[in-house]
Amino acid sequence: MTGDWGPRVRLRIEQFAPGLCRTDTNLGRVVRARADAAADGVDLLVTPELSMTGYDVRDAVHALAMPESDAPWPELAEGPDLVVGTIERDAGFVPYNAALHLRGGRVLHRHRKVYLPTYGMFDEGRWFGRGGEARAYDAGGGWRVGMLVCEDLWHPALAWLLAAQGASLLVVQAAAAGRGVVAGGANGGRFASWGAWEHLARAAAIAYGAYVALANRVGVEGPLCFAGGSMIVAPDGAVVARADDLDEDRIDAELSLDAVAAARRPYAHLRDDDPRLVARELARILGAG
Amino acid sequence: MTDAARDRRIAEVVGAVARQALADRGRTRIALIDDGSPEAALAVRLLAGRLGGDRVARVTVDENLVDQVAQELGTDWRLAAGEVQRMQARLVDDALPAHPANKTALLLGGDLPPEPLLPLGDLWATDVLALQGGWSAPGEVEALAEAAGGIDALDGALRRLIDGRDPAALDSLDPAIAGRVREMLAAGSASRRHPRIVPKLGARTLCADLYE
Repeated sequence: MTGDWGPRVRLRIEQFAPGLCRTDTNLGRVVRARADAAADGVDLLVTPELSMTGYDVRDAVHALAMPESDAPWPELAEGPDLVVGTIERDAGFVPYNAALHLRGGRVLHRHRKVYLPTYGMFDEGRWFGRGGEARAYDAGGGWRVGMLVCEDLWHPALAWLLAAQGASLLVVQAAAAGRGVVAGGANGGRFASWGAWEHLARAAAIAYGAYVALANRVGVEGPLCFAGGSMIVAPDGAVVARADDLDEDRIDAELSLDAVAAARRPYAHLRDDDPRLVARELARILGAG
Repeated sequence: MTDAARDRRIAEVVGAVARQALADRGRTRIALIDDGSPEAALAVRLLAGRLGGDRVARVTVDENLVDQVAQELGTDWRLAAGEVQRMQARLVDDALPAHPANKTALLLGGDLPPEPLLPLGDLWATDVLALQGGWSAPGEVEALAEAAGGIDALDGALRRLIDGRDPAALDSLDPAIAGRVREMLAAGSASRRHPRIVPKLGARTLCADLYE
């Protein structure tokens, strides 16, 4: 597969454990995953947040940040489309937590994480610059794609902005740690924290009639176990594929624009959405401030 | 979550974090301070179950050595025992020292132990009780639990205060007990805020803004 998308697209989430600051190792891991994906007829391979660098990079952020480039890795020039997570810096040397959609080794689209969690166990705002855009883009075959990174999904306005631009597929990278082992509730042994992620992903899929591919990582950094449990949600809200908790895994699903259309037939949420109303009200709210 | 699923998940997380801690430091095994407590037994069970028994060295009390140290330094025997075990754990070849204290004991027991790995540090005493059939803490903490009406009452209030962030959580306790809990929490807060204190003199300082 070489980025020639049709109305049916085979998507794979590669759930793995990126090594902290081990960029060569991580690149090798992604190259191998991509070769497997190519052999399996995958059109789009999605990896987790900061899959090229590891998550808790702290002040290594500047050493790891790559200059913004249209073709960052020659090693990834072949095979299916790929979404990776990396750190790139802009012309002003500000590092960003970025999701890159690569096609033929070139950047088809980049999304810089907008909402950087800086509370509780998170300290991203200390290390990264904040992205300032949420743009959907054409990926071919009639597909419109939007990317988000982790905390971005917890701010529903971003998914709405992507839907308002026609997104039929939301790709969400995550580095979500497992929480709530002891007080986990009745989730069949899963982390309690993962219930919220599933609600958010399914709600976005249902509200906008779009696929949601949520790629979380596994592995350990310091005291944190990343929770895995990646999932692919259909436009009707059904979870069509779910990865293991904690262990490396890969999940596939065949995405279809027919399914997008079918999910939107019974409802008219997207048709009736009124961005101008939202813009007017936001202007009023912000103006009142 | 069923008890079995919960127990399995706890073991998975504790084991995975310990394995990574060893890998990060290039060590091959854990040197666990084994004071004979339920916590030590649980830590051994969890760590050995996930890493393998040969990767967990139990550092038990050498009573003869403790006798000598306590006598030489004129200090309390129990205190000397803890410090002797600490020293022994540090001297285990190719090992990462670990202390088995539970979260209740760590929060109310003053400064945090200096061992780099606290495998049960996010399990309350009542969690240890559920998992291992017993629990322990420094004498003053055990006395406080008894005065509060039992460890369930004390831990319940602490859970609501710490995990639930409920500022009124200690109202469920007798006012005098609640006041003592606040004092004991405060006594260890400085060690929790800055596990290592390095006076900042330069541009980048360990434990302040140098992590790379």
